[in-house]
Amino acid sequence: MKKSIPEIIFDIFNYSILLFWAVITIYPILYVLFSSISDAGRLMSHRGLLLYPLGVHLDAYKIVFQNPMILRGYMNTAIIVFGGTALNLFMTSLGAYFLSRKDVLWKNVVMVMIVITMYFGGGLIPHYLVVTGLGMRNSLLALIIPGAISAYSMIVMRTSFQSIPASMEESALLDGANNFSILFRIVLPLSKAMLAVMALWYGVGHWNSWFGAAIYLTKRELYPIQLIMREILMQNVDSQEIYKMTAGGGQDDDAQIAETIKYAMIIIATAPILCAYPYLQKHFVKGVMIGSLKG
Amino acid sequence: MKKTLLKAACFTIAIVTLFVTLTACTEGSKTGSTTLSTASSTTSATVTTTAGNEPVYPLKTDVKLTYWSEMNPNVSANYKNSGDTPFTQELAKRTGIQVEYIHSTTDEAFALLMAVNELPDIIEYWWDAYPGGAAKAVADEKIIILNEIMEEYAPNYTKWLKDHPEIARQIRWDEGYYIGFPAVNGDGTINIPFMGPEIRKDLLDKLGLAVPETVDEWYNALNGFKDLGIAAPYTGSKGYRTDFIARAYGISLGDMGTGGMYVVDKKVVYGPMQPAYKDFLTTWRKWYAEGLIDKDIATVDANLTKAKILDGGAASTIAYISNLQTYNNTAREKLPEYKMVAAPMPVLKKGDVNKLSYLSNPYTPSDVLAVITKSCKHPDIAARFLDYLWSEEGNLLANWGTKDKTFTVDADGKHHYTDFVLKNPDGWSIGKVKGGYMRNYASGPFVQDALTGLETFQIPEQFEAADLWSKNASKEHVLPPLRRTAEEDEEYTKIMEEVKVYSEEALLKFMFGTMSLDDYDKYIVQLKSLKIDRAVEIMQAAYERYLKK
Amino acid sequence: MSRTVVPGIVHKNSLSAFVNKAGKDFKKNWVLYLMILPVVAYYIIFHYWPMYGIQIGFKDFNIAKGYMGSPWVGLKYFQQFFESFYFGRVLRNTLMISIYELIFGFPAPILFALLLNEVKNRRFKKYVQTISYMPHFISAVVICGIILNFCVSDGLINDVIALFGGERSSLLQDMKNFRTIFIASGIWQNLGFNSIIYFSAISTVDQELYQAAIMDGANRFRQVWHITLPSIKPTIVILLILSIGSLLSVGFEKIILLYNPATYEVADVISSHVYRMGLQKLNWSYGAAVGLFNSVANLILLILANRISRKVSEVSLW
Repeated sequence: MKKSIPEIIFDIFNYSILLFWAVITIYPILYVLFSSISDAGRLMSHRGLLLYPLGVHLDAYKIVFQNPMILRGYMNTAIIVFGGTALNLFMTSLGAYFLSRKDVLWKNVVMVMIVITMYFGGGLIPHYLVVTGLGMRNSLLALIIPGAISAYSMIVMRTSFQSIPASMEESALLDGANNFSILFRIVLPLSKAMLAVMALWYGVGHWNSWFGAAIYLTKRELYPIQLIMREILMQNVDSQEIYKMTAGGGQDDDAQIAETIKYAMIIIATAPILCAYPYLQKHFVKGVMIGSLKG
Repeated sequence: MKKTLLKAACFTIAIVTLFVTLTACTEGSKTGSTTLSTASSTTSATVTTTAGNEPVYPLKTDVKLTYWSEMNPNVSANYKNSGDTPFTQELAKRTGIQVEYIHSTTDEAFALLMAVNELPDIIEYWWDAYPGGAAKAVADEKIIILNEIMEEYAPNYTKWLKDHPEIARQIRWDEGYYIGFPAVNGDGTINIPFMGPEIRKDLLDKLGLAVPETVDEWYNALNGFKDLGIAAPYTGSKGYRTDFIARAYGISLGDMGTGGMYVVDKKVVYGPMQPAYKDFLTTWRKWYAEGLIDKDIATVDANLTKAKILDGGAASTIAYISNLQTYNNTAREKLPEYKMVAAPMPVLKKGDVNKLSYLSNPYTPSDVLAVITKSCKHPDIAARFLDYLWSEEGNLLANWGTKDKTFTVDADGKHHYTDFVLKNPDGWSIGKVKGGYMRNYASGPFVQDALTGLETFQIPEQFEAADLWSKNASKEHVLPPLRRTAEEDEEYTKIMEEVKVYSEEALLKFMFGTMSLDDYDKYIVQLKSLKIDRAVEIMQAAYERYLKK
Repeated sequence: MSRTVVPGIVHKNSLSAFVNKAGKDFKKNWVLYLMILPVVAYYIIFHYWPMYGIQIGFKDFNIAKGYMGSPWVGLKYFQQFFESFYFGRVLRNTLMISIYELIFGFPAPILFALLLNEVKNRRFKKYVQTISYMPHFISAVVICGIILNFCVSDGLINDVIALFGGERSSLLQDMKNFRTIFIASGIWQNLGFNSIIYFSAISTVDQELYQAAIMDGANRFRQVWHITLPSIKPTIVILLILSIGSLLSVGFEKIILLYNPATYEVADVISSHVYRMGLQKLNWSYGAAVGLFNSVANLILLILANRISRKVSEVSLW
C-alpha cells in the first residue's frame, strides 16, 4: 500500500526525533565507558563533553579485578537474580491471577490489604527481627524471600491478565479445566510480554540491590556485586575529613585513579544487565494473533 | 465500596492486633533480658599480669575477641577481612590475643547491632551517632566504662592521659567517665593546618605580583588573573568556598562542620551574625560582581573544581597540602611551568595575624571510638588488646608499620617511610599500603603521629605549605570538643538545621546581589527569630561546663 | 435445606445471609483461595507482622530500649515537622515537582512507545529501544555529574543558548531553572525504561483488530487512536493512579546532588529536609513521623484517584 504524503512526512519526522533521542541518550553510557579507559590525569583536567577516550589505559579494570571478591560477587548476584526472579514471577502470577478474577468475594479485601502495605510498613528493625527470627540471617534467602512480591508489579500484572478475553477462559471452563490449568495453560502463555516486563523489573531490582545484603550478611563470601562495588567506592565518609585534615591524608594520590576506577566499576557492574535486555526484547515483538488460538 | 472497606478494615485490624499482641509479648521479654553482665572486675582464665618487670605482651591466653568495625576501602581493596592484613596479624602476634573481625558497611547496621542483645566484645564506631552519645550507651547498659579497669589493664592509655591532661580533659565525659579508646589525631605538639588557600605562583610571576597576604592584595591578584583571561580566578566546591576571606574579617563561617560557632574571649559566637560579617559580605559581593569568583561557585562539585584548577580555568582555591602534589604533578605534564603554592591566611592589614586558622583539635567527639561492650566476657583482655596501640611499640606499629619493611630510622632518630610505602613495587597507592601494614589509613583508636603526614610530601611546595600555614597558626578561637546533653542536643540540632539553611541561602543571595545589603538588618532579625541565640546559649553552657571540668 | 435468596425480600438476619453467600463463594472459588494462600501468607509474615514498628513515629525511639521500652511522645515529632520554619516550603516544592513530573514525565514514555511502534525498520527500532533504556542504569551520582557539567556557565547547554544568541548563565543557580532541569533530566534518564511496560502492552493488542481497521480504510493515525490507545488504556490508567498515589514521594538523592542554597527555595523537598535533619544522630523517630505523614497523604490521594477513575473510566484498583 503506497504511503500518502502526510504519512511520509510523519515518518521522516518520527525517525529524526527518535534518532535525535538515541544520540542524546547514548551519551551517559559512552561517557562512563570512555572515562573508564582514559588516562586518570587527563580525565581529571577534562571539562565538558567527553566524546572519545583520553588515551587507552586498562589500569582501572586491572585494579578492580585484583579485588578478590569480584568473581564471588557476580556468582552471588546471579543466584539472587535468577532465584529471586523465579520466585517473584511465581508469586506475582498467583496474586495477579486471583485479583483479576470476577465474582470473588474476598478479592477487594485482599487488594486493599496489599495496597496498604505499599504505604505502611514497620520499618527497619521489626523487619530485621522477623527475617532473622526466621533464621535467614547470613543466607541468600534473606535477599530473596522478604522481597518475593512487589505490590506495584502485581497490580500492573493484574491489569494485563484482565485484558485477556473472557471467552478463552469460558471455553476452557466448559472443557472442565480448573483455575490452575487456566492460569498455567492459557493466561500465562498469552502474557509472555508482561512476564518479560516483570522479569526485567524484578531482575533489575535484584541486580541493583545492596542494602539487604549489607544488613543481613556478615559473611563477605555471600556479598553480591553491588555491595562490593559500594565498599570500594565509599571514600566519602565525613569523618574521614577530620583525618585528612590533620595528617594530610597522603590519600590524594588515590583520588587520581579513583575516578577511573569508579567508572570501570560501573561498567563491570552494569554490563551484564544491559546485555539482558535484547533477550527480553524478543517478547515485545508484534503480538500474537489471538484469533488463531481459538478452536 | 463502603462494605469492602469495612470488611477489609475488620480483617486487617484483626490480623494486626493479633500480631501486635503476639510480638508485644516477645518484644517485652526481649527487652527484659538485658542483664547480661559479666563485666565486673575479674581475673579470667590465664592472663599474665605483672606489676612491673615481666613483659606483659604477648599475653598467654586462649581467649578470642570479636571486634566489630566498618571496613575501610583502603583495606577492602586488597583483603577480604581486616584479619587478613599483615598489620592485624602482627598485632595478634605481639599481643598474643586472637581477634575475629566482623565488618559492616552501613549506619543502619550499627543501629541493628544495638537492637540485638548479644554484642561483640569490641565495637569501633562513631559513637556520637548513638542517640545521646556513648554516655547514654553506658546508661543503657550496652557498653562499659573503663575507669575501674584502666589502671591495671590499660596502663599505656592511662599514662598517656596523665601526660596529656588537656586532651584528657576533652576526652573525659562530664560525668568523669572514660569510655573506650578514642581516636587522637596528633598530640597537639605539632600544629600544622593541612588545608588553606592555594594560588598559582607562575601566573603571579607573570603579573609581577607577590603571593597575596592581605585582602587587598588578593583583590589585585584575582583581578590580574581575570585580565589574563581566566574565567574563574577563585573557585571552590560546595563547602569550602568562602571561608578564608571571611576569616580575615575575624569570622568563621561554619564550613568544615564547626557550624559557624567559635570562641572569642571565652564567649561562644556565631560567625554569620557578627558585625564584621556585613563588611565581609560587602567585599565578597563586590568580588563576585566583578567576576573574580567562579560564576558557578554554588554548583561546581569537586571534580569540576579540580578540572578547572588543572586546566587553567581557575587559579586559586582552598585545598589540602596533599592536593598540591596532585595539582602540580598532573598539570605539569601539559604545562611545565605550572606552580601551585600555598598562600597565607589573608588579613586585613599587612602585618596582622590571622587568628582563625584551619587547625582542628586532636580530639573530636564525632570521631571513632573503640568501646568494650557489656557482652564482653573478658573486658580485661579486651582492654589489654586495645591498650597495646597506646604503648610505644604499638604506636609505632600503627603509624609507621614494620621496621625496615615500611619504615626506617635515621641518624637523628627520625622515622621515614620506605619506598615500599611511597613507591610501592606492585603499584599500590600509599593509602593501600597503609591499609595493609599500618592502622593510620583512617582514624582509629590510637594516636596518630602527625609526622607521618609530612612523610607523604613529595614536592617542595608541600613542605613550604606546611611551614607557611603552621606559622602563627593558632587554636585560640577554635571551640574545644564540647558535649551537649541529650535534650540540649535535640533542641540544638533542630535550631541549627533551620539556621544553617537560612544563612547559607542568605550568603548566596547577598553574594549574587539578589538581596541588597540594605536588608542586612532584616537578615539578622530573621536569624534571631529562628532562635540562633538559644543555640549559642546551649553551646555557651556546654563550653562553660568544659572549662570547669 | 438451604435458603434460596429471593430478590426484593429483606431477610431478617443479614449476617446469616452473608455467611450463606460466603459459603457459596468458597465452594465455587476454593481453588483460587488456595492459590492466593501463599501470597497472603507472605504479606502477613513480612509486612503485617513487623507492622507494630509503625509506632516509632509516636515514640522517642531508643535503640537499646526497643519499641516497648521507648517513651511515648504522641504527636511531638509530627508537630516538630509541621511547625518547622520550612514546612510549607518543602511541602509545596514536593507537590510542585511531582505534579510537573506527572504532567510531563508521565505521558512521555507513552508517546515514545507509540512513536517507536510506528517504526517499521526492526533494526532501528531495536537499537533505539536498547539505547534509550541504558541511562536508567547509570547511578544518580554519575548522571548528576554529567548534568552539572552541562549546566555550568561554560557548559554544553549554555553553548547552545549562546549559539542562538542568548546570554550565558549558571543554570543550576537560578531558581527558575531547577524544576525544568530536574524533570527534563529525569525524563532523559528514565524514558526508555519506563516505556517498556507500554511496549509490552502495545504488543499484546490483537492483530485482527488492526487488520479489520485497515480493511475499513483507517490510516495509521486512526488505528492508533481507535485501537492502540484504547487497548492500552487500562495499563495507562492504573499506572496513573499509582503515580498519583506517590505524589508526596520525591526521592532525595537526585535532589541533594543537584540543589544548592541558591535553589533551596524550589528544590528543597520533604525527603531532603528529613535527610538533613536525621542525618547525624540516627533520629529515626522524626523520619518515621514524617514518613507516616507522607504515607497517609499519599494514600488519601490514591483513594481519591481510584474513586474518580472508577467513575470516569471503569478502570480502578478496587
